[in-house]
Amino acid sequence: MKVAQFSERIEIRVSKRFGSRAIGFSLDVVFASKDKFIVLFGPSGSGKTLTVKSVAGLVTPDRGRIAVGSKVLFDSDEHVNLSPRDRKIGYVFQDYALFPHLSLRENIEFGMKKSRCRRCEEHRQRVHEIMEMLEIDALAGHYPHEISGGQKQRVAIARALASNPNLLILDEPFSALDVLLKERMRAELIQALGRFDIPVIMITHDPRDVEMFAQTLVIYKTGRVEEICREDGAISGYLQGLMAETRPHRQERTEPAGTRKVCCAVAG
Amino acid sequence: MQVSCLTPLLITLKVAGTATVFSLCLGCALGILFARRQFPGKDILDTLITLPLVFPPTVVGYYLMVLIGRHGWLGQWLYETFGIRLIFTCTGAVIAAVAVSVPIVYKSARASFEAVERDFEDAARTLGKPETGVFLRITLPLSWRGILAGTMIAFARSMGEFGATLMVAGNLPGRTQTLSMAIYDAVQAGESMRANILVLVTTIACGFILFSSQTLLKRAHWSAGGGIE
Repeated sequence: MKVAQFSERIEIRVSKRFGSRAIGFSLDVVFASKDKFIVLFGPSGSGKTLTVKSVAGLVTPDRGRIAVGSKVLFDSDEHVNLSPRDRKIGYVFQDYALFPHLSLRENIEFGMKKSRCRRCEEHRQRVHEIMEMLEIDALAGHYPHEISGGQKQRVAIARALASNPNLLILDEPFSALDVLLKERMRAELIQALGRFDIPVIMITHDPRDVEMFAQTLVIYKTGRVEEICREDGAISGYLQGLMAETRPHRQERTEPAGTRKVCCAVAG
Repeated sequence: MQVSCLTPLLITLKVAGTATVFSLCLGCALGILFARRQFPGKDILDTLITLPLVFPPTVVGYYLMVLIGRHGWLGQWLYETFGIRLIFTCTGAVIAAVAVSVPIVYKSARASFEAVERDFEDAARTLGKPETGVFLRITLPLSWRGILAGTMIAFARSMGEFGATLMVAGNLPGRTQTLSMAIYDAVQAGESMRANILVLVTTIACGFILFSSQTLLKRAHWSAGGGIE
């Protein structure tokens, strides 16, 4: 059913095998979407990162086809395999991978072509705009080890957007942040990305990310796509089902926690 | 025959300097190859490159004699075809110094390249940099301190080379006699004043190199700690 929808904006069909048939891992995923936010959801080791690395050209699949709009990035039948630098994919790594020896401004400018000096002013303007939009313009001269996790994330996103990509990949963008910051960054990210007219593929194993971002939800399980949800109703239905599975544990946990609270209040 | 104390120092610096330039280029090329590529026989080749580091210098000298000596495989061909003689020349001394110092540069370069996180290089690729750009702007700037520290030690090792150089280049005062050989000669001849000066010169030169390389290594650790996470 889903395979028939290949006229869509982003098309991903990837097969790759590692090791022997008995003990190795195999990735076989197919999905396509026209939505702005595609969320890949599933446990660690289910092949999500491998999929997006194939999209970015950092991993070469054995077979398949990857296309963004009309641009074919990889097609094993047609022997198309663009190099990462020709794919125009913005990739935000899980721990951001900001270059430690370059200032934040140099990090952001890294992906911008500086061949024509008459465009320098234009470039400076664009860097400034992006930094302002993500509220990191005051940090331009700092180095990655001098800033916080939330700021690093913004710089990594700014760096990916500055290279003018056709698609943005976010690999567990919030996993390196603390709980309070996560919630704030989610809201900020939705707002910031809303201003860029490019599709986003996000990897996560946090249901809250699914709830906030997913327009197309691709559910992974051991190298396969288990389910694809597109409608809001289907996505929230899936999340409710997921909650229901964990509910018995939750109830058990809330009671002792409540008792502890009372104890603390008495002690205080 | 009396040669001033300056001549052996100049010969030593010339030989060690030239050898270090060659070792740096060869060691870095081997380092990046071994750090980033998989190929059959990799471990055996690694052992072969590292062997001169653990061999007694006389063994290295002997192998070099077999290779570039007047009747050696390469030496004979070079002499008969181009009239080039490597044995008992400064070039021979440089070759001996390269043989013992390449493993040092190679080991430190490989470790430094391997320590560069692959995500940094991948990030540069997705940002549109070709492979040479990735190497020059990411890999090299993140590893040069470790490579430089290794190169300093390789330079010091080349300066102190004795056994292999003696066998390949001989001990010709004013031509191939380096500091370490001049000291040996002075002691043998009972010229204690000359030996004292030569030893002092060597101590200062080697001390300076070791101190600088340690300082660089410390800064390399600091920069690695200041990275991501």
